[in-house]
Amino acid sequence: MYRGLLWLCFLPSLLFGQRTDSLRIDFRPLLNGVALELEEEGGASAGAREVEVLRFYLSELQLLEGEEVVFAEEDHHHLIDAAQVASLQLPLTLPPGLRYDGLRFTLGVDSLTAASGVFGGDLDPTNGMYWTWRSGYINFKLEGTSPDCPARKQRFQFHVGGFQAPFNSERRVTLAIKPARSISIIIDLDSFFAATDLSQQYQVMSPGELSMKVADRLTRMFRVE
Amino acid sequence: MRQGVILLVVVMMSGLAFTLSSPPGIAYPDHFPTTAYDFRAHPLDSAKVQLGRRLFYDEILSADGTISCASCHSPYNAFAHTDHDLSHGINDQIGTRNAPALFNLAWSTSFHHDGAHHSIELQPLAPISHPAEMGSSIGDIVRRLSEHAQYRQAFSESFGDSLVTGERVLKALAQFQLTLVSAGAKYDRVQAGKDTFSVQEQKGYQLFQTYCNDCHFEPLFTTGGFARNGLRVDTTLNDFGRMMITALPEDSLLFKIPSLRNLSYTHPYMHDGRFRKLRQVLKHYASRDVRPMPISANEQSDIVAFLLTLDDRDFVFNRNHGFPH
Ligand code: HEC
Ligand code: HEC
Repeated sequence: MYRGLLWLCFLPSLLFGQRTDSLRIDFRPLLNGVALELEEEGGASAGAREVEVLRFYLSELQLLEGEEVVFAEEDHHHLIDAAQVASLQLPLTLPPGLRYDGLRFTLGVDSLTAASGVFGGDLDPTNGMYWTWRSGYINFKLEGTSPDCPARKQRFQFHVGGFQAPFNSERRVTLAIKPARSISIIIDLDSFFAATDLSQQYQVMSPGELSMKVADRLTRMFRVE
Repeated sequence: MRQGVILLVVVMMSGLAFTLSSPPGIAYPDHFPTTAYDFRAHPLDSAKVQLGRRLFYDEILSADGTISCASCHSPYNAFAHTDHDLSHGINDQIGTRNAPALFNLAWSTSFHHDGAHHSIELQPLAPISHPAEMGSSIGDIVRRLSEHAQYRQAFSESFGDSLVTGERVLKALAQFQLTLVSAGAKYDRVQAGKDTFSVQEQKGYQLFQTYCNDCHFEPLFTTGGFARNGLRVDTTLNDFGRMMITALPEDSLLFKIPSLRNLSYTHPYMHDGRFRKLRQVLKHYASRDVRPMPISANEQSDIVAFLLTLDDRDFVFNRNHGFPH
């Protein structure tokens, strides 16, 4: 009897010849409306704004149906780096037929993990995303050059991190999505630069009021294509 | 027969009690509180401790192969840096703070004079990367150690394979430092009922409890918290302590309360090493601008006599955590 029920549950997936579903999330950074090409030579070339580093941690990834969490990746931190094409894709394995209409994730390393000891993998401190002069991961690095930037070599450097109140910079992002094999999420750098006056704000290196504002602005770059 | 069963149960229970009361960590006397470090989640392992010890004493960690952790944290100074008010790093560069003594770190919840670090495992990233300390990076250290056959061997003995990673280097350094327990001073013998204070030491102990114990809380001689102890800011350094980490104005001039064990070995004193003698420290407390303490010169001598009972010679000369051979 019970076995019969179980079979019924699996029937749809058997019919479609698969026991799990997959969902691939592709991150697509855009600068000036086109796919970002990282500037590798360094230096502001003739008046154009360049991005050299775009790296961030993504954790606590969840799928939602309404307000309910229907899928959650546990204890997983992804280091997403525009310079590592493979890191821009997150393949997920889901239970078959899962219904969802929302995607939620944390930008940054969750504060519980950040408050613990040393880890390996994407969290290994050799990845250059751990502050050395104080505790805490850098949740988001955005660096480059811009003609309106008064700093040396016209560089802007945003290192956003910090997990202790009142300057906790981890941020939740929630986006509406539809079930599909893959979805593209735009990282709209233009929206960040539109909201940031690089002649005034071009450097964040520690947790504080400015890093909190920048963290808010960074979350607004994410949207579904 | 029945007695046999009871005996067996008692033996089993005491076995249980033993495993519960002695975690897979460090040994310490009964008058100490339980450690802040979670040894159950991260048990000590002798191979990792020895690897960490070797790394601690090896100049391979610095950019030019001249500075080890022990250069600034010498075992003969209870792992502080005697005679230097501010620390010395590669190319004879001088830092901005006094290197603190290292012991009883398993009870610490924050590290550095301003509590910049909360994890003993991640703290070493600071000296490793600091341009005026070791001037290297954890990535470069991983590369250098990977090219070293003896280290690859030591990593495989400790971690099951010879892969060198940042996580493993830092874990090993932490394991070694966690074994640095100082609990063998005269004070500890008195607490255990195995020794007695002299009359002067006893007087000093009482004064200590009145004036100092709120911050330098026994038996670790620190609450682990931060406080303002009335030092004027040194305008050549402009070090505002905890505020530089929290960015909160109310944290200005708060510094971590240091332990007072092993003071004979760890001079000079304070975050910037401004005092060379304990007498100067006591004089400071008795004459500072804000709420000077009403302690007479004689009473100051009594307190110093008590502080000297916190010297732990056995710790300082313990070969088990000295230079590896
Ligand atoms: C150039 C000198 C120097 C070197 C080399 C050095 N340190 Fe330190 N160490 C310091 C100074 C100075 C501080 C205090 C820093 C501060 O408060 O900002 C310190 C603080 C510490 C602390 C915190 C202690 C406490 O109770 O707050 C630990 C732990 C430590 N060092 C371990 C190490 C290890 C492990 C190494 C080797 C990887 C090392 N140090 C290398 C100078 C040094
Ligand atoms: C309000 C808390 C507080 C009280 C009370 C207090 N201290 Fe301190 N003490 C501190 C702090 C904080 C420091 C570290 C200051 C720094 O690094 O600049 C310190 C540093 C010291 C040091 C230097 C230790 C080292 O390794 O550098 C000594 C010695 C000392 N105190 C002794 C005493 C004595 C003796 C008394 C009582 C007469 C006392 N303190 C009372 C907070 C306190």
